[in-house]
Amino acid sequence: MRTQGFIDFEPGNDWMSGPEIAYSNYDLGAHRLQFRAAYLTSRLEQVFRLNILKQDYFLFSPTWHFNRNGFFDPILQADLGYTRYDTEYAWYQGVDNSSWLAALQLGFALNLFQGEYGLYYHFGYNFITPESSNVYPGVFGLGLWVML
Amino acid sequence: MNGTVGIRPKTAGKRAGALISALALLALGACEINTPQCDLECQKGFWMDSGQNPDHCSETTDSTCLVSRRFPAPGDSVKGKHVIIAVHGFTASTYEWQEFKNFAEGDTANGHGKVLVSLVLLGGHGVSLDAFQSSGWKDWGAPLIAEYDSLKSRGFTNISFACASTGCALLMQYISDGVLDTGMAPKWVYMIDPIVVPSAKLLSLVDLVGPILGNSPNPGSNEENRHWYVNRPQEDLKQLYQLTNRVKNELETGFKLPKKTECKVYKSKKDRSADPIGALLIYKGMRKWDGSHIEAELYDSRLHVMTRLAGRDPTPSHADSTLQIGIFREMIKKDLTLP
Repeated sequence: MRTQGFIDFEPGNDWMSGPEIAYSNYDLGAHRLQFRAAYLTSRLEQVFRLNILKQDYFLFSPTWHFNRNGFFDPILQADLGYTRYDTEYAWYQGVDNSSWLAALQLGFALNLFQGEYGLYYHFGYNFITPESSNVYPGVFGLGLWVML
Repeated sequence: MNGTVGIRPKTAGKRAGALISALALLALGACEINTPQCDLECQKGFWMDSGQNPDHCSETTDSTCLVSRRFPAPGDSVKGKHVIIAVHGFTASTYEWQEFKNFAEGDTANGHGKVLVSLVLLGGHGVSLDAFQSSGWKDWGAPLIAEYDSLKSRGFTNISFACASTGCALLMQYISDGVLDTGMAPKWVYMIDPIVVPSAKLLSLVDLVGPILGNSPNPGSNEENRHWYVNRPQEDLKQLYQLTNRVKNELETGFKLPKKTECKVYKSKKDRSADPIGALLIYKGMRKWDGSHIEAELYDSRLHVMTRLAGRDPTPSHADSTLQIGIFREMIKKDLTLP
């Protein structure tokens, strides 16, 4: 489960939340390289807050773990993907409502119960921020995982 | 064991490197790479930044800008006229609405002379860079409410607002705060390229980047430099982001216009200052008193705030002129249609 927001030092934020699936094995950089794929969306929140945009994120995030076997595991993560939002109304058509994404994030994972469960936090910079998009440069994410 | 001993100096080296990088960043922050500048053109008094070329509406003796000053004791025939309070945007001046004023008040042949346009100069704007730098968004908005109250106290009964860009963010903040709910409500609110989400997304990191950059100058044509601040100090950019972020949060929560007030948003599809998403957020978040949607329109243009075409480089196209006149006509027609 991953949730991601923007860094802007001001109250209020746009949150995208959703499922994330990750894969790694011992042949991938001695288990240090992990591939993650996530679908993040504001649609859950939009059920309760009708006025926010309906936005989706599709992310592929290769992640490097520096201390895979330790409790505190620093990570470096790239986010490559695509985002879009619903234009919703007939009058709001013809606007560029999508964008590619490319971000680099630093953070750490906390491995609990020998890696059976864990938490992670990361923050970084998104390099693609078009004029017409709800995409900002400062990003941060929080996650919670369970090993399958 | 040997390996552990071998790693320690490297780790210490990395920590020292990180510390040096952090100190360098702090030093850069203290330096302000781009301090506000006034070049030769500016020093000669051609730029608004210089303080030698203020907006004529900033003079307390001027009676051509504010309708409340033009008609301090209006008769019944004047009181019945429709007044549109025109509010300009960030770093701009009343010049942004001068073409609308000329059109609305000058074209008596088409009956447009029934409308008076009150040009409001935002606080901290149109005077000097020092005045701008020392002002906040609450100062910017104060004159528009002052003019509204002044017109009401003089007996004007048909008052509307027309705003551009940041002027609209200020107006929406007042609407969500309920400032316009007391007494007579405005008839119409016309929004031209309202800014809720800035197109330059780096503005969201102004607290971090601002102290390093210090200033983000935005020079335009000679004409624009006379009527807009060229320098945009970090203090003002912070204020702008605070305001837009606040309005965005209010829109996401939702609020209503005053009773019987109508609103239309006009937004260009490509805009280097105000992201079109702002128009969508306004449409979703700011409803009429009865809960219904306001009016909104997107049009094909790359201009930010097409109310001003003069002095642009490159020269606006014929389509831009046609669009501008079309929107001016519609605004006046709408204003005169309501009783």
